[in-house]
Amino acid sequence: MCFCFIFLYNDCKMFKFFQKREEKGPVLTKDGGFFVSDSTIGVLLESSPGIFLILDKEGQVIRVNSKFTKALGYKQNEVIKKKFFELPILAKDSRVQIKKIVGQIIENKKFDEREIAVFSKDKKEFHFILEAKALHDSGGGISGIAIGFSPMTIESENSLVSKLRSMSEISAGFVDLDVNSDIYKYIGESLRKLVGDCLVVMNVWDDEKKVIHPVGIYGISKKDYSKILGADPMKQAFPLTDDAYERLVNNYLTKVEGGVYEAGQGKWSRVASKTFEKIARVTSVYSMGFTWKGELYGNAMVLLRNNQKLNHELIEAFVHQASVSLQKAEADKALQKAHDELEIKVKERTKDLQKTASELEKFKLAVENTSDQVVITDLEGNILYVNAAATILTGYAKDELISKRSSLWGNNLLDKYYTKIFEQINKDKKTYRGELNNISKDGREYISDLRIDPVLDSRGNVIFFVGIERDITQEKKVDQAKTEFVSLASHQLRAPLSAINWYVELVMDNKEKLTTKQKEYLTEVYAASKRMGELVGSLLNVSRIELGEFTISPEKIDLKKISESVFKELVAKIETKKHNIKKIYPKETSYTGDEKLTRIIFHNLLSNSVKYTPEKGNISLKITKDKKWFFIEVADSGLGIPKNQQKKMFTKLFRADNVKGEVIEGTGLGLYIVKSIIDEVGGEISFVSAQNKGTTFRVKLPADGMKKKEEGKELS
Amino acid sequence: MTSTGKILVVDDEKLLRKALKDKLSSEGFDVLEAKDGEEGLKKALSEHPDLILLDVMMPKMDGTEVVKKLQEDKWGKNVKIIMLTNVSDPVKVAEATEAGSQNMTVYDYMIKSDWKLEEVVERVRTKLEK
Repeated sequence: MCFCFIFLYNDCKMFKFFQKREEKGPVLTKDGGFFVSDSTIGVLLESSPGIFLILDKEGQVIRVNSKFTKALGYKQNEVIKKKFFELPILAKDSRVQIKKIVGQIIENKKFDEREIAVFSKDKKEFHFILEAKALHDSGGGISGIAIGFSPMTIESENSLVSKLRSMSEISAGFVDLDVNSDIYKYIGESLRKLVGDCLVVMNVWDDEKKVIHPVGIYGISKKDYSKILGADPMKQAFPLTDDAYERLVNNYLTKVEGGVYEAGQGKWSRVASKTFEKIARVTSVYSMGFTWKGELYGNAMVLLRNNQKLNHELIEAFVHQASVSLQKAEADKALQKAHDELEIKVKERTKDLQKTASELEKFKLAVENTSDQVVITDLEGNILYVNAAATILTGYAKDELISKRSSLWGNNLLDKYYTKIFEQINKDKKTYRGELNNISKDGREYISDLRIDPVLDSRGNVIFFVGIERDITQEKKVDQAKTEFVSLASHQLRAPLSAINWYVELVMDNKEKLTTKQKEYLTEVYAASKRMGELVGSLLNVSRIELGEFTISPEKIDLKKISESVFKELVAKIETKKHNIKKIYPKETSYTGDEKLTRIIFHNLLSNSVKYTPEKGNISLKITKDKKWFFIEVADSGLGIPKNQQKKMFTKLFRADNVKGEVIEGTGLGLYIVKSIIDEVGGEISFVSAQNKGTTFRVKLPADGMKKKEEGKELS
Repeated sequence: MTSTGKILVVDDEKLLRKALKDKLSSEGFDVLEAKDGEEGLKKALSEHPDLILLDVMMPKMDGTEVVKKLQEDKWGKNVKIIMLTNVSDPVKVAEATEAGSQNMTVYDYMIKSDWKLEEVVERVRTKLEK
């Protein structure tokens, strides 16, 4: 429902109407009242679009227009001749005030328009601006009062409808705003559309800094606005007083009193306000806060021009709508931000996953394509995964293997045996190693070297098993061949050597029948055969060392006894070469060591010294002892080893250049064997040597005895 | 110096067997020969020699097996034996001495290539004296 009532001076249409009439008769009084005849008033009243009453000077209603009866539902005779301030259209508590107003006007006092609540006959409440004017008679005295009710804005019905239409369009526009739209611009421009000729400054509230700062200015160029403020408005931040903040949060619409904030001066200034009036023709300023549940987003300053008035209800509705939209926009922004952050995280995570996946792929390829059979089983030994090698080795296809057990290709082993293996690994959480006789799907028997590792989780629980098998049938065959060779070498090569030795001996038994030359030659045959025997022995030892299969059986031995027996073996040569021998033993020479290995060490070192020390040279053996070690030192004044060849001393089949032609004995295996033994029993060997001056070997054996090693064969 | 006693030489190597036989004969021993373990066992049980020189590695029946079989015989479990071998195979020797250690006081073994014939004869004499 909307009534437009025009009863204002200045812009008032009615005034103009009267003014026109005045030329023909009625005269306008100085204070804005007018002389008028009854009939003229009748015409005027009916042609006016608003509610209109005429009172006499006692305040009784003498006339109402038809708008009155239509809008409020009272018939003319229900109000005529009644006192205006007693009419039921007025609330009881406002009647005294109205009576006072009527009295003031009769006394020709000035009256300011005011808001008033009016009730229709069916008790509906309407709010109007009450306006009242004195009516004068031709004598200049007051003859009555004109009362008008006008709606709270000065708008025509059509313009309001169009504004409502705008409002609905604006509301629809809010819906279309997305998170990237400039919602403040939309609000600012919408306000201008609704209000008409005005400036709008949109501000945003910064809750952290407790300031408000402009984000957009509409209806005036920023340059002009800067001129008014004396500064760039967009760079300003305005603190809000607690009071101003409260007003913004609690009320949507406030008329800003006392001017505008002068940015250049940092204060609210009337001067600036004057400047506004001058430059931008601003006549009043309204501020409206955008809030949602007590949260302030910002505000709009509406600067009205040319005494324009605001339709409060419409603007309040708009502000409310805008607040909701701002709240939504903020929420959307927060959501978008969260979404963006999430997306970044997802992207990073995806990248990580891709990296992991590509690394996993590498592992998978490596496992899949390794030449060893790889089988992953669950805790019960049921197969979860097999690689390509497994299908080649077992002859079964992958789908024939998955969820089966490894007893499938285990030849003569019962399923129970595997169960036991898995139980043991599960319990001990240690790697199982073994050799198994297997049989493939097509019946091929093969030997595999098996290794089953438990795979533990971070808490140390077994989660699955990884079995790695390798077909070692071929290696086993090679091994067998080696063992057979060793047997051949020892048995078959030694038998003829023994025969040679023994037959030479048989011939020598009849020395008297032999010539001196024959005896000499037979001695050489015997010596050569002996050397051959030693060489075969050394080769055997080397082959056992290289197969890693010689035993160490420590027992109580006497180092002195062993070294003495070695000297005894060498005594013939020592005497022949007239070597000067020196021996130093500690008091205690008992030791926990392998007798044969110890003998090999002494024999090699001492026989080397004898071999490579010229006639009348010196050879010494010194055994000493401390808490940790037995030290065996064998020194000679022999040929020595050339400096540039000393590095190769312990390599197999190495013989130094300076002895190759000189001394025919020697296999190049002795020191290699010695070094291998000493390494194995936990000792150390070193030497110093100078060519043609001599060599000193130093051996350290652990004082607490040699380490025991059971598997394998004794060295001979 | 002449010696008396009946010695059984069991060795598949004809050359070594002959050398041992010639040497021992020349020293005055009565020497019997067998070319493998099976024959050796048969001759030992029928001839009851005073001492057996027994090669370890032989076809048909190896030395260790011969010792085990001898253990089952009333006479055999007390016969003196010197094991001869070409290689220091501790497992084999351990098996042999284990097999004979129940009743026999001394088992000996010698690596042929390490010993002179003279030394073998010396060992035989010592053994017989015990």
